[in-house]
Amino acid sequence: MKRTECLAMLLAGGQGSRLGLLTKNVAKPAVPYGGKYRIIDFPLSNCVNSGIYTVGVLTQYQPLELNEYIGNGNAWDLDRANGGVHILSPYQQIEGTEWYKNTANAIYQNINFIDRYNPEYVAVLSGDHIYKMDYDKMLQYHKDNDAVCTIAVMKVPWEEAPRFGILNTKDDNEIYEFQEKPAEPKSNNASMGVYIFSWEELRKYLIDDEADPNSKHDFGGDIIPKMLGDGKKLMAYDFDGYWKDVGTIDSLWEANLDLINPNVDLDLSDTSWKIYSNSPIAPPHFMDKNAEVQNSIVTEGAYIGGEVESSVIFSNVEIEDGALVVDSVIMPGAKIKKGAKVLYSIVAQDAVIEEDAQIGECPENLEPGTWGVSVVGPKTVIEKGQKVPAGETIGIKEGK
Amino acid sequence: MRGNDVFGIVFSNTNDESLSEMTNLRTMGSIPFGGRYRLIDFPLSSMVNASISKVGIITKSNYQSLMDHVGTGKPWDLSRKNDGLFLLPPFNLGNQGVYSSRFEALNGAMNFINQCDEKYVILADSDLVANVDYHKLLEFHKEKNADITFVSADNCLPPHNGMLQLSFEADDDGRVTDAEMISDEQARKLDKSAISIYVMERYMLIRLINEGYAKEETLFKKVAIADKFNKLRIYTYKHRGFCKHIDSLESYFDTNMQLLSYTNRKDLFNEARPVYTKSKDSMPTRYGLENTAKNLLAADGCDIEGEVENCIIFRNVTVSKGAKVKNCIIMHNTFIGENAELENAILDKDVVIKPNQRLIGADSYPIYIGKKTII
Repeated sequence: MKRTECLAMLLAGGQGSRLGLLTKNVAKPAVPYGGKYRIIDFPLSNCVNSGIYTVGVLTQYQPLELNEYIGNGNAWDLDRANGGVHILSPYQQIEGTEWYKNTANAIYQNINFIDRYNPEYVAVLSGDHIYKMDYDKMLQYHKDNDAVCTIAVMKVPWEEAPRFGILNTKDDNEIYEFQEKPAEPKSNNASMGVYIFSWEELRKYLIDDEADPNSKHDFGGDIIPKMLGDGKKLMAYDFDGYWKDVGTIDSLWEANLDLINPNVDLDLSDTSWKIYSNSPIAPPHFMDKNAEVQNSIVTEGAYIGGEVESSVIFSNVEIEDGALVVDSVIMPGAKIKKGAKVLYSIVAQDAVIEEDAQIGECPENLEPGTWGVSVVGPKTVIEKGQKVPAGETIGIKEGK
Repeated sequence: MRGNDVFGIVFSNTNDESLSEMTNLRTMGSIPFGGRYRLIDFPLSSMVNASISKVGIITKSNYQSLMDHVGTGKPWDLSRKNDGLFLLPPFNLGNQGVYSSRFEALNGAMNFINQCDEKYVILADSDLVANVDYHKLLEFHKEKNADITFVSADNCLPPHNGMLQLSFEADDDGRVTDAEMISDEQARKLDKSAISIYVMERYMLIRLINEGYAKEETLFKKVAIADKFNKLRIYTYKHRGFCKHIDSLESYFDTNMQLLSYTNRKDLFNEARPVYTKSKDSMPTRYGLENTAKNLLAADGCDIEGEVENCIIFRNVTVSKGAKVKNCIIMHNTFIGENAELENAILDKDVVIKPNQRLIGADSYPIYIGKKTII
């Protein structure tokens, strides 16, 4: 087999429990985003645009929809004779069956897969971040510095630094310390969860780590500190573009609305760095005679009869005449009936908001500190005239 | 084992001359339609929706855009190890260059037809905008034990192209009892018309081709129907849905505009029989802060800041601030500058309208602006 220089391993097994009902039946990377995308489209498209054509996607939690979505990788041009996209689920081995215990363990369990391609470098990526990044430039940087591991970092506001893994570096960007969610951070260089390793070294560390009974088998918590302890060369790679972890309802809502915020540096229309998606074929969207759509994005198959302001409208959404949607995210197939209001909310796939119902509230109409994003779960029907207060989540919780 | 025993043939250059403005650069089949489609998407999708997995596309001239569009046939699920999509460029024509009649075209595709081992064949043109249920058509053909079945429709004018058209009578069962060729002018006055979609057994097609080619006939309808209705079991299957021929700039314009009706869209973009097309991964369309967009069908990737009404907008179109666009068809990548004013116009791909320009076509005859024009 032809040798692969750099292979990517995409960690897509996370449950995303903080997204609640939105990830009840799908893994977090398969959550819809930005009108026609799923979160995983970003790392997958970044790989292809960076010339990485061998990608392993590690799935574990609710993989059905994600597996179907990725299919043979054709949508990202990853259906290839040599390489391409591979779904890697935990499997039974002679020693027994094990779930992926943690990030490093997930890669450890797939050493055989990686060895088949005999790569020089392995990129380890998260399947749940929204960003556009050229991994090839980062790889070049990794090679130029002759590093064992390079970690992408970005400056975050100091007050937010305690929520991240913080990398403390010397003047030349060499990492000397890793702090996981430090109460008193020494720097504001946050790890983006994008790693490039020299495979030979990483392979050794994974095997040692697996044998260590005290290890939690986590990249940030175990592998990186171990490498630092051994005096290996770890470099920080500065990134200053848009990057967002969409791990919570609020951040998912914000990340969607960022697409229509002119002050946010996230342009998906750039043809030199396309974000590909496996979108279902639907006719163009239709604006009816009374439609009013301001500062919003709308995609194929949608029907707009009512008023839409600062919102993201996904495929096959129907918004009837007389309905009002403000600062909201309306996911595929949802229906907003006549006279219904959806304010500062997320309405998930195939939900129905019946006539004159109201979801959420504008922050200016509430006491400060009481506002929150409202969520209507997938396939949930909100009855005629029903009100869902700000910050509340409503949906079908039981069963499948 | 295969899903069914049918293969398909699509003619991509149907009546190119009737829309010469647009077919200068492309085939009838690759004319952009309805915001994101090409005309050939309709027959191709109909075939695929009827589980037909082998389709030959007969091409004549200017077929580069068509090849770009259909590629390996992936969007229609026709990129396959067995069967799939076959492009059939002009073949075995000696020094004639391109073929001039349907029989010559089919004769050029004889190798393909001979190599197929399916029992049935469906033939379709690409100048028709309709979502015909080929599965039902086929079932009808078998149930009636017909030799040849063609599709017909009420309220669908035959193409106005100066060629003879078929006029026919059928009994309640659909069997053709009388048929003759009449002028297109006369045919356009009739309340029902024959559509060039046929189903028959493969051996019957070969027989018709040999006969038509030997007699130097030009009209398939004449040889297959008008000359045969008293000898063979010829049936007509009535399509009851949206059905329009594209035979002029006006009909192209009107047919596009009819997609602004909910019922027409529901019928044409039937959820049970989707129309497939090539996807280009543009981001969703962005509506700005001061736009007004009403009665508008728009694809992805557009940037709408101005005033748009009664329009069909293709991918990656920009309508700048203050621009007014009414009753227009705007194709891919076209840019409309600030305060420009457009009415009753068809703008082909990659057109640039500079700021403050004004272009107003007549209600009855839209202006056409060719590909890559800068005004």
